[in-house]
Amino acid sequence: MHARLGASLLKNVKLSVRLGGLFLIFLAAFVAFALVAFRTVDEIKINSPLYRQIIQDKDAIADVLPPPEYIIESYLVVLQLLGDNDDAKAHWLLAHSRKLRDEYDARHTVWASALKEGPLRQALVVDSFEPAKTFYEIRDAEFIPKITAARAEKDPLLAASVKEEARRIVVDKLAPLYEKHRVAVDEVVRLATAGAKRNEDHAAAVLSERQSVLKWLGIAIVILALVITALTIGITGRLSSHLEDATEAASKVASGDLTVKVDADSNDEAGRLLAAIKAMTSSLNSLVTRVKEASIQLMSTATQFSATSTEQEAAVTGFGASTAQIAAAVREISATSQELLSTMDNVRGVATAAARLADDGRAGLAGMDASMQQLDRSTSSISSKLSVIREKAADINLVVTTITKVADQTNLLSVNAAIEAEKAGEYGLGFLVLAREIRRLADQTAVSTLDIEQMVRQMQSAVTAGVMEMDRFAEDVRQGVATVARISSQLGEIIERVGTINQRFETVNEGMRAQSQGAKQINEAMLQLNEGARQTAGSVRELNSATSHLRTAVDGLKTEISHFKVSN
Amino acid sequence: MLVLIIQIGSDRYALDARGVREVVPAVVVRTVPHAPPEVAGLATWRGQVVPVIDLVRLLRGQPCPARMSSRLVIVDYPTAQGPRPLGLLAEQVTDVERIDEKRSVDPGLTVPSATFLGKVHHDANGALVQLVEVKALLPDKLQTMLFAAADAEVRP
Repeated sequence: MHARLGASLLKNVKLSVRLGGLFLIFLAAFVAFALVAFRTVDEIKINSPLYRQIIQDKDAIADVLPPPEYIIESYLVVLQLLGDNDDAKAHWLLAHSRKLRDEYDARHTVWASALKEGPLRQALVVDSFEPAKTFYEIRDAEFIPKITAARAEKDPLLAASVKEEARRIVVDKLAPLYEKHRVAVDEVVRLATAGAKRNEDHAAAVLSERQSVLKWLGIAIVILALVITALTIGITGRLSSHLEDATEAASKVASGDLTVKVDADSNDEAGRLLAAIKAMTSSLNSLVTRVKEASIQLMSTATQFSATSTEQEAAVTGFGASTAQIAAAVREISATSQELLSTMDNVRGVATAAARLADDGRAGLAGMDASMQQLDRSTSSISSKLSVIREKAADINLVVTTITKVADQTNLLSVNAAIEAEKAGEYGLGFLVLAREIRRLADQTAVSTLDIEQMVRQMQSAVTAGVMEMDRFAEDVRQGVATVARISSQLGEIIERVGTINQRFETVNEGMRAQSQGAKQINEAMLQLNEGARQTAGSVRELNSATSHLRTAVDGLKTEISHFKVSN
Repeated sequence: MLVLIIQIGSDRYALDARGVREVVPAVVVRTVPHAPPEVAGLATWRGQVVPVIDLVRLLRGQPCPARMSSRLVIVDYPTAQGPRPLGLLAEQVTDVERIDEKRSVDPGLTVPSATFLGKVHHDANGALVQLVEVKALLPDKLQTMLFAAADAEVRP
């Protein structure tokens, strides 16, 4: 479960990131290792704190413990045995003596095999060993028995002499040997100290050299790591860019764009992949182009085919329509001639009726003419009478004018009379009154005549208007008489012509009937022709639908192909 | 005082009847070329040639219309050589009237070019009547022009 999750997580991580992660892990591990190594070396080197601790501990042990290869303790035990000791002490001293010799032998064996040839071996194994060996031999062979004998002697004098003998042995034999051994050991110490010093110096030099080398090595490794990082980034970048190019190209090809340009300039795996994609794209391109061309050709062929069949269908349909039209026209002609026949009949009836009506009209008009003549005569007489009235009015006017003139003269006369009477003074007074009366009468006369004149003028204008009306009426009547005469003569003509029309209608009727028959025959022929055209049209339509199916298929192919973009 | 009434338009004027010789119908007046516009021309009265003044023209600025009531009033015009007949052409000369001289009033308005218009009276109907003074009717120049010929005719 977790592994699968990790794998799926890794799948979503880019290759460069993965490589970078790996490299970082490696670098971290290396740096950790280098740090640990450096620290370890720094900790355990000569003169390091740990080293100093070890040396110190060894020094402490060396300072405290009696050295086994140095016979000083054995010499001391010998000197102690010379003293007065109880049994237990003496016994322990003897045992300890044996033990010390064993230790020495053991250590000697170790050193004899461990040390290489050199001054130190000479000093330790040969120069210090010879007196020590002789010392132990004399001690065990001569001294120890004397001591043992002394302890066993009951007699204190004897015991003291034996002890004296033992002491003599120590002073004469063992002390020089010990001295000799001590000189040799001093030499050993000097040599060993010099060697240790030399080794320490050498080790310190080596270490410091190694440490600087390590330091430089670390720097070199860091630089190398950086270089490797850069190289890795470069390589992964190049690889991933190539892979991205390949991915992009492949996805474009997948979406149908075949115009994609692929640069395959390298010979590595990515380059080979790009080259393969390029080859694939170009071969796809040519394939799609060929298919496209083929489909276009197919389409044009189908379109041509379709157009041709459509034309054919249109032609057939047109033919059918034409025949149908002709048939319809013929039918119409037939119907029209039938209609015309009945119309002719109607017209004949109407014409006959019209002739009859015209006859009646003529008779009526004759009566009307007579009335009109009478009317004309009456208006003439009225007109003449009105003229007489007008003349009389003019006479009256004349009289009135005369009366007016007389009144005016009278007025003038009375005025002059009044003036003359005034001039006459007192004698004229009576005459003045008379003159005034005359003047008043004259004025009244003038007013009356004015009224009469007014009335006569009105009458005159009325009579004039009446005369004019009568004249116009008489003119109308005269025109009416003339019109009636004209209409009467026209009606006579109509009656005559209607008689001749009837005969012509007969001949036209005959012709119409023949035409109707012919039209019927043409109609039947046209119906047959139309049926044929309809059948042909059906066939052509079927062909057309097949062609349209083909075109739809080619269209589908074209649509599919058009998803691919092709470079020329 | 008896006056002869002359009606021109809606205005009434009066002439003193004592100065009137006769009222005659408006006979044909012979026009005199180059005469002033108020001089209507010459007329014959009782065998005498009389100069005629168009009173309508003088008072209203229009020539006297030819009506039945239009008349020629012959008046005595006082000159240095004695009274002379003068014709006055006027319209609606149909009436005489007696007016009271004492009740006449001064109009209080004198137009320099019409000094011949005299006092004002109320007639019997209450309408205003203005007297026309014949002796002030003609300016000296016109008077000389009108009566020179008549004098010349009379003298031999």
